[in-house]
Amino acid sequence: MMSAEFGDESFVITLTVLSAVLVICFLGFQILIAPNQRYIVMYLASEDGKALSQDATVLHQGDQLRIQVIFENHMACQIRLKLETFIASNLSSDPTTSDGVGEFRLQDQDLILDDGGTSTAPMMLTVTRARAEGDSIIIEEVEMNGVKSPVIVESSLRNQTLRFIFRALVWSDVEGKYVPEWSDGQSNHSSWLQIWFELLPGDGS
Amino acid sequence: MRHWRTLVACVLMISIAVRLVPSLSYGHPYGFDVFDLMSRVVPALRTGKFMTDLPQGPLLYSLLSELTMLSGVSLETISSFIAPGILALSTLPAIIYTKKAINDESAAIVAGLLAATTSVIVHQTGGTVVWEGLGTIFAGFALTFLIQPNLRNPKEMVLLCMTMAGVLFSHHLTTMNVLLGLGVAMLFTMVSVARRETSVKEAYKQILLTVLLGVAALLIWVFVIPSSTIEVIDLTTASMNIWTLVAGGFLAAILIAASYRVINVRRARGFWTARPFTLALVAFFASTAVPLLLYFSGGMSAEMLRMTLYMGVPLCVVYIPLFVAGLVSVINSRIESRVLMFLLAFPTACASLTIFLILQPGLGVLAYREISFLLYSLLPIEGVGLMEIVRRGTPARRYVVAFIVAYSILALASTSYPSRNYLIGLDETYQPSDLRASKIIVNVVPSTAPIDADVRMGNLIFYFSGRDINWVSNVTYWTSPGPAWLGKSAMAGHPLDIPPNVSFIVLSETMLKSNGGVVVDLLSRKLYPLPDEALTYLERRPGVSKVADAGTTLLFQVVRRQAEETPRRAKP
Repeated sequence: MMSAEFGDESFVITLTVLSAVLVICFLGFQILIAPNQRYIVMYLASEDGKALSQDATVLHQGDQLRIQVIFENHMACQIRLKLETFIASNLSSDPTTSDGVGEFRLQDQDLILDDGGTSTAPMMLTVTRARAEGDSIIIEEVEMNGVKSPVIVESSLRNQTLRFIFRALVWSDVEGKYVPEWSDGQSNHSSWLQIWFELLPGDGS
Repeated sequence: MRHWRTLVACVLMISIAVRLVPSLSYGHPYGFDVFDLMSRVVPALRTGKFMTDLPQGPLLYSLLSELTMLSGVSLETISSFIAPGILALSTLPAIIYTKKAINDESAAIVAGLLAATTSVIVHQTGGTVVWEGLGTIFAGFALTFLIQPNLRNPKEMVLLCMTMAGVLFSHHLTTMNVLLGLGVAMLFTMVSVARRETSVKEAYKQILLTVLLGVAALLIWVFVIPSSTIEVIDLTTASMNIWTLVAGGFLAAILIAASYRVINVRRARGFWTARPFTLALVAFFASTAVPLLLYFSGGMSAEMLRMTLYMGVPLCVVYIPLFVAGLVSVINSRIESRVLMFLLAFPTACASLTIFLILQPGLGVLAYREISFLLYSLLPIEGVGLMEIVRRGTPARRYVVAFIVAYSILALASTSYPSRNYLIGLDETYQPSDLRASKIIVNVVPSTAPIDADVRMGNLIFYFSGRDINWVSNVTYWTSPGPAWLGKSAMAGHPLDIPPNVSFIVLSETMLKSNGGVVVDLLSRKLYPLPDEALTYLERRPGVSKVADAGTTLLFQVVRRQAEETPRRAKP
């Protein structure tokens, strides 16, 4: 009796329907659990929106380095950012750590970005005072967006290791403070950039 | 069969659903070859003509261009949703081929189900939008016309010629597989003629067909798509030596001889056909034990072992028992010799080429590309195999078998999109941040500035720039060892000095060793992970500015410092 009912055709129908149900349910589940990635993009560009030329980072004292730090928010919500700018010379500074790079912080800027929004922070950076001492070069004052900051940054004269570092801190509602890391839904990331520059002898003028 | 059309529609629905999973999950095309393909279509959409060569075959590029222009939908949407749906139709010729070869509708539906869900076939026929998919559709129809051709019917001959032309213009490797399959069939026929089992006329027809296709393929490879096909052949001949050629040829010949022996067996013993589950268990243990033995004897890396177990075991457990049962059934059914010859000629050709390639130094990994067509050409026998097992069982067992096979099909489908942990470190999925970062890189970096990136990220920047970007690694990635800095540092296992021909470096987190990734290079070479020290080196090396950060993708700019070239002259 059952043999007549469950012949080839019944088998193929059962198999096809079962396969369809199982495969589509499983794959549907895969689609549902696929992480919807959220992210922040941070990049540096010159005023014309292009990468800096090789010459742009070769400065004289008084020369203005004009760049823009651009942020894009793809975090699916509004975010608050604090952009910290540092000047550093040594290699031990690590902007990815939460304690930052110490006393050479120049200025902070607060930014608010809507979801899908872009924000540009223009930067005009000038080494306004520097002196040579023996085999070293010491930067004593840097102007950023018209505000002068006293600093002490020392580097070897023959092999300069000077850099501006830009670090983004993201406001965390949970912790109630700015934190250096954000989550894309799967892993944590920190956003920071840096630009190396050289200080040439003489005034820029 | 009363519900034939409904069942075919159901199989097609499964086929399309499986192939749309990554696009529905991520909203953009899956796989890095797709972006290489699209990068050649973008200039055609802008200027009205293709500005670069069209490797592998021009038909898929034309199809994507026309679909984009006619529908008014973006190329990314076409490649994400429409093209996978079209390539999913490769299931249809598998059904028709089986039905025409075996004349068994139930077996044809089973063959269609396997074509719709087998991971390797899914990956090559719409899971990723690649040339193989279109080639397989045409090859499937070509097999349908070849299996029992009516040379006196002009309509059928025109269709055969059209499908053959479709294969030729779609994909070079599929053409080679069809050509080799025809060659093996021709060989079988000639031996039969010598033994006076087949008429000379039949042999002439096959020789004519094979020679015509061979000449057409050669002309196309040399004059229309010289870039990749001839390069791969050059690559094979460059690394060959007489011993590997002889060994590969000998083993391939043994396989062809064994296949011919099977065709001439008048009756096969059905010992394993009556014990399909025992055979499945044996296949399971064997397919697990062999890679493990190879791994512990040092012949296989841990990454390759993971991939082999993840993808290979479900394939072996499903395909081997069904193949054995199907072959025994086909032999015992006293099917026409010519049909059996064709049914076995194409899988034999693929298996022979696979063995030959595995034994050639540096080209073993290319053998994976044969597997999808090998399994595809086996589908009629697999379909017969399952129906033979079902017909031998009681009605209650048939019901149980339906459940077991349905779960097996689920196992096959669910391994279609492996993560990089099961794909020797390759990550075929792009994150939205990778796409956005690549777009920014293309906008920010001057088109003449030399960029170093691996194939995965390079294809993205090629796509967003319409190939108008100086990706230095791409110039040599077919033939010379490793891209500019990333590939060489990965190969060395530590960061090397940045060569003077590199101005920008695109680093993705999927390259890093700590993330289980690799720097994606030519697949015929071993892929190496980028040591994490390389990232630290870039972040700390004076003169290497970090100019973009999207979390998963970073851009570094190398500034040639005067301090490195000339000593300082004066104090500021």
